[in-house]
Amino acid sequence: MTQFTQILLSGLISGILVLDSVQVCQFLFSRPFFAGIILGLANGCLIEGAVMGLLFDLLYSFAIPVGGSIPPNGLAGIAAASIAFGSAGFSEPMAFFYGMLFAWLYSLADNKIRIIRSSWNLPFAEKISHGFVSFKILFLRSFAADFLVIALMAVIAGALAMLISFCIPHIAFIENGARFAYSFVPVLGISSLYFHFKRNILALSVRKSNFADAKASDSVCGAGCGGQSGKKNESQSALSIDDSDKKMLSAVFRRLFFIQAGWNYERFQNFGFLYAMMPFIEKIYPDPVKRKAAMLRNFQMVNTHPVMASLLAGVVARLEENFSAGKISLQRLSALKQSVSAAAAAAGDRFFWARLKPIALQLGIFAWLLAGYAGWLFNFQEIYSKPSAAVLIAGPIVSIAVYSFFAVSMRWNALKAGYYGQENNLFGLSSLPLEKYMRRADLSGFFFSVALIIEMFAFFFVKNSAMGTGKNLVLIMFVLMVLALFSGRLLVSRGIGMHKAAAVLLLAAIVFSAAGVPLVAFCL
Amino acid sequence: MLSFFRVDDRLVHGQVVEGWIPAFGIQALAVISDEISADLLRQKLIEFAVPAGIEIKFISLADAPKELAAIDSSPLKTMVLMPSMAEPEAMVRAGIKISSLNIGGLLYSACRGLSKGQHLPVSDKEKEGMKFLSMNGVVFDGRGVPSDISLDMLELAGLK
Repeated sequence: MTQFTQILLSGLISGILVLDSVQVCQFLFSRPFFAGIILGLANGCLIEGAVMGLLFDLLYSFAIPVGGSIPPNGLAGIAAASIAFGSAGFSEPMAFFYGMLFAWLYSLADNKIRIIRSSWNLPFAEKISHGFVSFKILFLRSFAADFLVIALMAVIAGALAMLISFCIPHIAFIENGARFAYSFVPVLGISSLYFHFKRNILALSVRKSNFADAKASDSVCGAGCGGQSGKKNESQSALSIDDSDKKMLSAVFRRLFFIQAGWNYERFQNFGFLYAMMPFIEKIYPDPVKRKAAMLRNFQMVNTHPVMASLLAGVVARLEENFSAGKISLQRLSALKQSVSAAAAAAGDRFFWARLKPIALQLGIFAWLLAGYAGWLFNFQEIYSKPSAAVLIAGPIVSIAVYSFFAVSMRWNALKAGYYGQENNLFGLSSLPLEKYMRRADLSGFFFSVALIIEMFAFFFVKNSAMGTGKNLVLIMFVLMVLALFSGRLLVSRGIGMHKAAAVLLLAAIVFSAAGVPLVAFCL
Repeated sequence: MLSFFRVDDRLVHGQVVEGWIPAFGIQALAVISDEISADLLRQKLIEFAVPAGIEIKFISLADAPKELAAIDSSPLKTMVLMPSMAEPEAMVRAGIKISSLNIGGLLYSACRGLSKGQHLPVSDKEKEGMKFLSMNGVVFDGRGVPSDISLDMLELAGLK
């Protein structure tokens, strides 16, 4: 394969994978840990692609898309990095930092696409009021936008990388600086995991003591308001599903995989939400005039977590039923919709983005370790045998399977819980085992992080004794590693992203290297 | 201790619980809204979104001066959340000092022209409120999450 076909193929692959990150499903095939392997294969650098992919995933573990903010995109990063390494002949460290640049650039482009999609709202609302609605064309346009932008970006990244390696000579101090900074990337990632989960563990130990007046309100809300009493409600609701309900719920369940299709900055997930709500709306409103009004109502702003959107769909369907029966006002409906979507979003962001996603990554790393591969830690392929493709792919597959198992089952359970929920179990929210999951996730995430740190230090000593490195050097490296590990605390507690931290580290390393300081990377 | 004021129509959601609370070590939240402080069901929904260990209090506009003074003298680092520009305006009129006001949510999108400025403009009422607040020494900090770059909302809303 020539370099050009490799670059085009990478563009195509990243274009397909990017759809999973926002537009459909969110099974996390778009996570760089998985994408790195596919893109590495395409660019003839399977191992380096897999390692760089893991490092992007690790570094961006907590760069999560909460409430419409767009963090650096690891998929765009790994696409540019594997092209730069495999097709343009960059060194691995240079390719990785080159990828970080594109991860950031893609987030800017993504921002622009979402602004542009806002202008699709009014014409679509117009169509609804004229009674003609087709989601297909709109969704395809939306997919095409994301596909083309990342594919184009991959091609540009490839062309630019080839131009750079053709025109600019190899500059030793930049290479050394990048190599030094790159060897700290795993430590930065591991330390951010450790300090995030440590902070969560510490928060767990603080007992929740509500203000006096908040407690007083319990009595008004009824005995079922608390988080503990939900279980009974769940079992009751499970019994009450009849066949026609089940058919409708499973249609909505399937449609909810498109909840983020057409994501735009004006109304967020409104296209996907209306699409998912259609089976409900058609059932509740046989009258075309009322149906149109309901469609326009459900085409308003929706902002929630993609998994927990199922709960919101169920709740809103029930509220619409109550509204059509004259039990609640329109104002009440939209106020409750807003409150439920914020509560569901907070729970979804906390469990799925900030806990399960990094934990699934940790499990993927342990899968590699069990299969005997730890070379990614310090790049010491020289003393460990090269991993097979089967071992490499096992890590991301474990990670995707764990995440998707929870996400897909929660989508179904939350839909049921929302539809059969009542005010006394907070519309099904408190009947879901989210608090329990969250606690367990914090504990396992913390222990996995500690295990990763132990693994890192163990391999550090094994490697250095195997290679017979000088004692002073080992000591210096050890001190640096501990310092890097504790820098995570500083960054986490100030909300500074690891993307920024790694960029600053790179610049500092290049400056020191240019000033003649001999920097020795971990990989030696 | 009052450590942070934020305007966001979504009140407690992911940006608050995963962004601001951990970044600033926030220990308590205070929601100022007449609508919410009279609505127990929505209070319960908001409480559900709050992580364990974080206190939350719902305050009506009329009670705000007294309650905020009490919070300011308590040791808990408290973040004040308000759904619209009307609440900070009323509070400054009642003599509460706000030096910096974070803007998130719909108003943040509107100021940034994220919907191409056509369908989601900053309303005249919001502009008036922002003008009044800025004359009273409030600095606007437009950010969704702490790692975003802080934007000058006055300039973006065309008030500078």
